Amino acid sequence: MKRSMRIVIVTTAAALLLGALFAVPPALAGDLVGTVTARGVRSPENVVIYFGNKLSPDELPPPAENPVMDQRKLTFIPHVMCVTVGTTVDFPNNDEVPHNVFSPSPVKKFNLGTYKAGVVKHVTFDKAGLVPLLCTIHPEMSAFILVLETPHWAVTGKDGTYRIGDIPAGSYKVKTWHEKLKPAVEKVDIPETGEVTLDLALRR
Amino acid sequence: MILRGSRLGGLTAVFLLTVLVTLLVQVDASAIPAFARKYETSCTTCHVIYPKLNAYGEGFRNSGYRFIGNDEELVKQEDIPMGADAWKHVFPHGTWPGALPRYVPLAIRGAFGAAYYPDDDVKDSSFQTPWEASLMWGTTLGERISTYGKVNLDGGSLDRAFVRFNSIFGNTLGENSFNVKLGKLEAGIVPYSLTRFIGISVPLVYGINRSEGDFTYGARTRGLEVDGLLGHNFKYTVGMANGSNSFRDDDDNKDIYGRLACKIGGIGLDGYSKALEEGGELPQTNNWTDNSFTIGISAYEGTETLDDMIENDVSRLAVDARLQLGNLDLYGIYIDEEDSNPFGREEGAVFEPWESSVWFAQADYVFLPWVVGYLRYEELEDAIDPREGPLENLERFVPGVVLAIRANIKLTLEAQLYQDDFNGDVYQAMIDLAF
Repeated sequence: MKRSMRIVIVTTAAALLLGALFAVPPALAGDLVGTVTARGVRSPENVVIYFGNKLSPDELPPPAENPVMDQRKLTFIPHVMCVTVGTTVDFPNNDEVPHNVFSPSPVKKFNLGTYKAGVVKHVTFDKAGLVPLLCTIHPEMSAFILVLETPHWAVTGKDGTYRIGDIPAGSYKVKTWHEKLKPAVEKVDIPETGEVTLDLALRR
Repeated sequence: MILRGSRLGGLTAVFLLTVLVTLLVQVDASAIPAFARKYETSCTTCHVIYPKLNAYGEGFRNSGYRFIGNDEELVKQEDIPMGADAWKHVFPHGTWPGALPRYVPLAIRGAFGAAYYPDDDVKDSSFQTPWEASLMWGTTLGERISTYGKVNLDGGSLDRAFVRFNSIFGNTLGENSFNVKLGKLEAGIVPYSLTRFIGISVPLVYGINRSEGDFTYGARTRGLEVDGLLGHNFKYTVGMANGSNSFRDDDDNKDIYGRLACKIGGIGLDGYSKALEEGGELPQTNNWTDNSFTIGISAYEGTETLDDMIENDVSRLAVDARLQLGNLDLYGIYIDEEDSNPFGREEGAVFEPWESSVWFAQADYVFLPWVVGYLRYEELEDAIDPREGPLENLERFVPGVVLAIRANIKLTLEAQLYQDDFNGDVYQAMIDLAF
């Protein structure tokens, strides 16, 4: 065998051996899915389902881009948003009229002042809890930001369904929040792979 | 067969004409009163035949004109919010959010009929058109405030008008446990409201003046009332009122009253059904049946000012009961009466208190969803003014039938048969519509 060929074979073998020693095994994680039914409200939309485990801010992966709480046609979009502690949210005014976004919440009290279409403001939420959003000029506008200490959450759509993926296997408490419905707490065991179904019936 | 020249002929003509017009006129009943408009539902959701309420209607009324638990799901005409809900977090640094009804919550009611007096030589028949023409409003103003009122268009007088603050302590003491009503009211001691009786006439116990002044058990009075539900089956009412029909109280005393009632079985007084909530279905299949027994006790203490500023103390103690079994609804009230009677005269006794009693019992029966028959018996002791001396009892039978031509249009035929020699019988027919 030529010397060069021997070098290639040895080098390749060494690389494979090192890779086998240090390769990270795929994460063992499951999904949680389900449907929320709600009594006393028009629709099971905008129910937040989130895990009760708390991670430190250092453990919470930051979002790739700032989430956006938009303002269009005298409406906050989305009506309910979840972010993890430390996230900065953008508040663009894409409407045709000025708005004044503020929150009275002790979790994050702020007032962005009145600003016109095209301007974007930013707020960093560094404490967990509920932050209602209002506009002093248009009292019918409202939205909610739920600042969480877990990356595992979902917000239901109009049909009440939800999916939370890539949850490390283990036992957890799952909690709900809705602006009008009573909160619920359920225990769930997440398997190493596959999905678990948890349907929730909430009432006012 | 119409008998020319006879009294019976006149009445027959009136009855036949009324029935004929009713059958021929094709009325579009899609126009609906205030609550029916808000929920886009038929009158029969809450009424057996209007204005008589079924159990759900009673629950709706006791809850401040809302369906407890799922009102938002049922409303079709959403209110206009006076601020988003989240403004509650801002209070007191912002105004608490309320709501306006999307459409002006008005309804009109009219009743047109005729009466025949077989015992009366002077006026043996009479058109009563209108018997009633009224404008009503009823709505909620957000979650905790409601209002109701009625104005008589024929005469322009205010019948009732009030604002009600519902569930003042929220869920702390239980929904509907403490409500405050302020306005011109029918006192809450009246268990079967005059405004929700199914026939043409109302019981004499409510309609006849039974004191030396103008006190009448069912009269409207200006005042303040607190009521509430304890659990789903107990209701209390306490009130304080002027006690007179005038805008300004004519004495320096306020009348006070109270009632406590308990319902056993059936749907709760707030419309809650344990069978439905826990078992998923109701035992009854018709919305007018509600097998249950209700008993109430009430008391009224008041003062009325007579001529020369003499005061008459009025005391009433009453027991009411109601048995609902299948299609039968049997109910009544017994009222024990005592007045201080300052102008009273008896042989050898001056200013003796005047004591008497009145009672009635009525049975309503649903033959068909649109046909309800009723029979009432009522007895008033001392029917003649106490100042006049010799006393007689007044007894009356009132049979009748209500035919719901549409959910909001009905024909009522009724006879009022007096059992004495000085009150003449009355036969009445009435077309009643609401929209």
